[in-house]
Amino acid sequence: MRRVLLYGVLTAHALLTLFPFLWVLSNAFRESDAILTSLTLWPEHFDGANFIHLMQTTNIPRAFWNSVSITAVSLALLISTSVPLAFAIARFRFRLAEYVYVFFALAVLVPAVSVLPMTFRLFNDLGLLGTKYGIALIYATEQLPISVFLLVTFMRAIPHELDEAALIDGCGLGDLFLRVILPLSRNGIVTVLILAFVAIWNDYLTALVLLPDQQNRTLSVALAFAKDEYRVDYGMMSAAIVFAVAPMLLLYLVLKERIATGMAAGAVKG
Amino acid sequence: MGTLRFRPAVLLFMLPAFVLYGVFFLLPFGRTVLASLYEWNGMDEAVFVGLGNYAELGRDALFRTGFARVGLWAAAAVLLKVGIALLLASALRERIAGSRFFEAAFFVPVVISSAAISLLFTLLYDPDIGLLNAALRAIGLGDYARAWLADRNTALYAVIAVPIWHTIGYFFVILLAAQRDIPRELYEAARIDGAGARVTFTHITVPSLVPVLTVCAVLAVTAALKSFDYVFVMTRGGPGTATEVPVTTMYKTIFVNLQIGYGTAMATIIFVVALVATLAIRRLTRFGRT
Repeated sequence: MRRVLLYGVLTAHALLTLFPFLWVLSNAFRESDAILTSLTLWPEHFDGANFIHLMQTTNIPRAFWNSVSITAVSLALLISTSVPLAFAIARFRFRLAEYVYVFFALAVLVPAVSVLPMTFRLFNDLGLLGTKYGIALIYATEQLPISVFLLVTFMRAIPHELDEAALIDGCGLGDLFLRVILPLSRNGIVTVLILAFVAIWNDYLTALVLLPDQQNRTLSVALAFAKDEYRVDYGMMSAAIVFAVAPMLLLYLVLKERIATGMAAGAVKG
Repeated sequence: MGTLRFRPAVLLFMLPAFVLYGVFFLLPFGRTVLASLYEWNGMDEAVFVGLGNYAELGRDALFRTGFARVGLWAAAAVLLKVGIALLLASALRERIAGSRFFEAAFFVPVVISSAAISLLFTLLYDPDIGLLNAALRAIGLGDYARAWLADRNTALYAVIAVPIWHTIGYFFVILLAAQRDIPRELYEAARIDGAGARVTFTHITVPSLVPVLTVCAVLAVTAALKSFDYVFVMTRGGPGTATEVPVTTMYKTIFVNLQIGYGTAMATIIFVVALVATLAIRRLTRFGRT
């Protein structure tokens, strides 16, 4: 009896979670007329017209590639700033190190949205507003505190004898960083990359404000605009949603454990 | 703390992050607080008004009701997101047949952007083709079918339900990991003592999870305060001002009405409220434990 109840609750929640996705997937292969007349999880016939239309006539494919390149630049910037900082905090003995944490923790307490208007002014002043990759500076900055925190935790677990040995062997600081600590931190860096990727890829508001040019729109922003542009074209809207959901779903299936445990750890430590 | 002796070269490793953080976070943050003391439309000369914007905000009914709405949102988030996640996580504490499937399924929405989720729910709530109305009609409750997001009476609840659905999986994963860290011996000892499922839940699971539940509550409340995407994509704050929250009001004040000073004062208030809520929740739960 208890088992039946247990499985009943779990199945109900799984259905509640997955059903909307299946419904929209089915609608993506149907015409708007069909969607209006009946509800089904299995299309009458699989019609790819919505997707062809989406690929050929909308700016959503372009927005997808914008998201890819902007996210890539942001992650490169994030790693090249957060990893050296984490190295300095984790491996050296100095008073400032303790305060650096507190200093960066401030950004965790300030909702990004409340700073955004003045970030917009700053971008205006610096002439970054019309550029495609300026936003990467903001994405990297937003992810910096949590990334540094996770990286420091990770790097502290690397045996300290390695540092001494490397320096005695005549390694410079640069060599110690690049040849010893960096390779040993690979797992931590991958976790940080995955977490930051999900956060940056899924952003909407920052891109809405800092990328005013239509040709620079990211996927999230283009999707939200699609809502107004294809108001009653239910098939197109469904196809657009599927187009946005599918890549993340695939990524999740590949990296399931890593994403889930990484996000849980990030939340509790941050 | 590391072990290597400090040397000036270390500063070079720290420099890029400091520059980034200083220019693209501290500077705009400082300017936000500063700008809130001025009246400024972004073009003409800014006029210093001291705390005038804040005084005006105190009388601003739209901004105040926005906080009432987000308060309801935060309460619902803590109760439902964290509550449901806690129940699901305790159900899966012991690995059972199919637990890998359930764990994976519950987390799926978390990796999808809130913009895509908002679009999905725009369709789901649609009066003509929406899944929700179809479901109601199917179980004989067709009279309740309506345009959920366009109806003044339901729009706010319809919006609030979306982030709850979207991120239950996030809290589920956090609470599942924390529950599996609770020593099994505690549960075995309780079972030997003849304690039932409900007693073990209230006497072992919940007390052991207080620190993690605190983190969850903070995350749920601050997420509600910060949420812009769901409202803006689904309703833009409408119908009328039925789903207007402080963040969307701030956005419109600055980017539509060009009242920069007034809008940054809103931004500063939102930051202070988020900070106070965070500290209050931490304080409250620490008090509860001693």
